[in-house]
Amino acid sequence: MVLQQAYVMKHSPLRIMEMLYWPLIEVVLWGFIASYLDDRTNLPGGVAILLGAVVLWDVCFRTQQELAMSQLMDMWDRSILNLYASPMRQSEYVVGAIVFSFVRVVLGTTLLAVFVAASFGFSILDVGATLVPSFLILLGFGWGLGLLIRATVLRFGSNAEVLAWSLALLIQPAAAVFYPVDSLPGWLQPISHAIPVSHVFEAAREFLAHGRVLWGELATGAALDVVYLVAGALVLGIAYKSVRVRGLLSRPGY
Amino acid sequence: MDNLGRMALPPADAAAPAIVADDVVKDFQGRRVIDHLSFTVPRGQVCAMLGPNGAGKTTTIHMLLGLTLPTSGSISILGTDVVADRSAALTRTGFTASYVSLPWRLKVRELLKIYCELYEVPDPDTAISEVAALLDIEQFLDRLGQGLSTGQQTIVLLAKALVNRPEVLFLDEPTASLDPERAVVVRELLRRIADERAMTILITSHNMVEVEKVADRILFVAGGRIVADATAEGLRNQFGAEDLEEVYLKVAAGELGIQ
Repeated sequence: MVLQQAYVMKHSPLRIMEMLYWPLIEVVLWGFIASYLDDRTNLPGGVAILLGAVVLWDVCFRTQQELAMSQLMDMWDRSILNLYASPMRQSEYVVGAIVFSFVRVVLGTTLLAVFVAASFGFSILDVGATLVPSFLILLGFGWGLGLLIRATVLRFGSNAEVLAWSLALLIQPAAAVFYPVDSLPGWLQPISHAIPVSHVFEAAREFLAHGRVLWGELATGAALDVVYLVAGALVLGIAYKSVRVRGLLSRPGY
Repeated sequence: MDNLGRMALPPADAAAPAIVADDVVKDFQGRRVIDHLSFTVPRGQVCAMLGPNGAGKTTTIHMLLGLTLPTSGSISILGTDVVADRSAALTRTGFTASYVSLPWRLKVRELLKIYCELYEVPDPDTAISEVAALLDIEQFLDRLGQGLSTGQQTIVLLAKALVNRPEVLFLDEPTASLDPERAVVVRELLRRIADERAMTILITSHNMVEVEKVADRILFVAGGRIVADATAEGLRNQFGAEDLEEVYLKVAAGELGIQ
């Protein structure tokens, strides 16, 4: 399955472009916003916090999208039945998508980070010791969301594909990407605490502002990641069985 | 290892029929679409499934491939239970249908390479060359799927189904989108490789000429049941018909209650 994704990317300039197109637009926009605010506020960390958030959030968003897109592309091609009629296991299909998403996200994030450093003088390495655990937690949550989207699209068909573009964005306001959790309304804060990536951004902000590593936040984020990954895998397994019981793999659009 | 580099089957599996469907039932939301279907296809037989639209032919093939789970009953391919271990059951099979497409963004060679990997073909390059020569698609190998005509895509998908030298081949309306000349070539090819390789083929088709020329045996499916099981000549005699089309119309009329 990794091989299939690699071949598709080779023949599709758009698939290569999209690794950077939207993230670059986001970075440029937020870079300008951050620079504007930095001149007018005493926000600790200032530009670094906003740009760091953009780059890190893109890891999660991009990962979720990659995992969803690989399945959607097979459905749009009407070739997915070829795969399911082969000895390929659902687990192999997913693991292949996860492996390839990791490669694309690492590549895309690296290029993005270089652009941000060159354009706005912010290095993602400034998040210090929190970088690797943050990256892994963001990846894990992106995979968890991606598994949920794959399950939903598998069960409900291409009608559910809007989730591929929007699920992470729906969560983003509560994920405390650009602001601390305690700035959210009271009723939303428990929800924010239940999202792994909010702990990543709390830890990143604290390090950039005050140089302290909040290992507890990162540990909580990692633990929540495991919950979401297991839940995503279970839901996908249930969805796969459901479509086979209902004969939905035979329907048009597969 | 056999001469294709695959692990040899244990003696018990080597004697198993190609396809066994035993008292298979399939209900969709309270509606029975497969009604206690039982049949066995021995190794090396070309078996056609005929029947009106909605008879259950595609549902049957999809259950044989593990795409759809039966409500009850059992299905095995070459001695392996499809529900218990779909992946193992499908390793020595191939499939193509008129309603699946080529991935647009892959070259033909790349597609065949991927399916060689999925089916654990030990020497993909040799297998690809062999199937390309067999189906005369060498000139397409380095073209993208989106650049091929519908008929060309059909042939390439047949190549995909044959690249792993399957022992059991499932074909759901395989020649539906081919011009008559190409359809004849494909029919003759299927008959030839079935004979040369003792390959089992289960084919569904609405083309009576195709069925008569290719199939050793015909299962007539209507209302989710097998209503006739014979050779083409046997069916003509059974229904007092001059050709298979007349058999088809008589059975279909009977199912619809039309006199």
